[in-house]
Amino acid sequence: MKKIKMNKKGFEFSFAWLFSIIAGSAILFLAIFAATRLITSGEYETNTKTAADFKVILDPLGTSFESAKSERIEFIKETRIYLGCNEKLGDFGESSIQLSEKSSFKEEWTNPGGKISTKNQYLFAENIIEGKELYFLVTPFEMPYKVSDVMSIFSGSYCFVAPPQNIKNEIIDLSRNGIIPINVTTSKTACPQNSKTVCFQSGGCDINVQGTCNSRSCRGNVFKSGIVEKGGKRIYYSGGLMYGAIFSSVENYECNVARLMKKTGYVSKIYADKSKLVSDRCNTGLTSDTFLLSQMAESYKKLDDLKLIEMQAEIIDDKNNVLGECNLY
Amino acid sequence: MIEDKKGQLKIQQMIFMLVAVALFFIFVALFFFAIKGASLYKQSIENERDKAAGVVLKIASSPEFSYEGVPNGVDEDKLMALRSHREYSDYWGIDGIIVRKLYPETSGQECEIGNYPDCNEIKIFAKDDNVAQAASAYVPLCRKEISGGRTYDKCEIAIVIIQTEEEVI
Repeated sequence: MKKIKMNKKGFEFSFAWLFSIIAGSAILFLAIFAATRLITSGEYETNTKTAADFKVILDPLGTSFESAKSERIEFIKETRIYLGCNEKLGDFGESSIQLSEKSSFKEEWTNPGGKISTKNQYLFAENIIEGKELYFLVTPFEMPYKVSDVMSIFSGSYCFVAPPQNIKNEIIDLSRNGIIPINVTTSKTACPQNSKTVCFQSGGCDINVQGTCNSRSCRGNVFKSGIVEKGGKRIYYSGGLMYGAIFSSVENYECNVARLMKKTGYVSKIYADKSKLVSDRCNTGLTSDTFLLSQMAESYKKLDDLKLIEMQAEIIDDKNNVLGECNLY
Repeated sequence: MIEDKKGQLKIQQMIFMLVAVALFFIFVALFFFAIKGASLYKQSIENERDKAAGVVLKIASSPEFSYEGVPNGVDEDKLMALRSHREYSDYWGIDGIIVRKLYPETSGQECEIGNYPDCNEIKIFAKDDNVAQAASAYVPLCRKEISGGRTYDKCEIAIVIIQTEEEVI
């Protein structure tokens, strides 16, 4: 048998090669890691900045002398907004906004940016709303004087089935020029597909509104206060809170009403102080009533407490209406 | 032996090169983040000013300020009451609100319960000294007055000044 002579020299793998492979791959790994982190932090920064800009836009949206106001905001990209509410934080509680845009590279939502909070806005909406366009319906909240604005935010279209004449007129007026996509029809079948249906004084819709107001102060408007049924839950509303109850999630609604009650307490204290201050020029006699309202609003716990607070507000309103030129508000 | 020394020298060269490259990238990153941080700070200040402009547009219609029956009117009595409510210093997200009477001219004193309404300036709140005037608006400043047994609305011209944090250069 012939012996095969093996080449024992082989391939020489020098230290320089080994070192450059390890160092090169480490540098490459670090570069890729840094680039990925940079893109992610860039997205976080953009989402946080957009949320901050969004908050700035909200300030001029409040009502002044109008009974209601509508607005539309268009984003450059598909945007998802996460709304939070905390009634326990600080003196007034706060609403928080987090925003996420759809990625340009892949059709996925980017990670939400930082939380931007606002103490002077009451944002009534579902916990997550998404779309390229957002719609606002702003109504004043009065108890009995203006306390703040109820800012309802939504993204899809809604269909109001057989609303009472005053709500119908208001919605037609607010959705003029297509600012907000709310249709008003006489029957549910006439509603456009993919729109959320809202029935008034009847059932069978996604959201059902039942007006229960029958006292003298309702002045014939059954829907001045009532119940909104949605997702198997029933929530009480009063005055400007109706749209808030329709467009928001139950937990968001309850939290924002609690915040509004805190605000009612502080505004009432200001009116009580004002009443005391002007007593030598214009005695309104409302100091104790407004102070009582402030105490009742401060001890608010649940939606049912609203009814009692409303009654005290009506007492103040009745007294204020007969004061003539010397009225408090 | 000579080959060994050459090899050692090459390794040393490579290590120096790698350290230099790493340092270069660290400095570039630091420079990048310093510029980005500065622009972010500037943007946050601009954002504050935009917010102040938004607030000043609407402040006259907020329930704590509004005077019923006078468009854009600010209630002087409510402002005096608001001064003692410290909880409002964080409410609007701004650093100070001052209302100064412009016409008719009055003595340049800050309003207190003792000298009200014969005073010139109502300081609702001012957080600290490091603030700048960010936005202002002219408003009618009104209160109820009595003359000959009749109550009437007395309105003067005033300026509402909104303060935000001053930009540190």
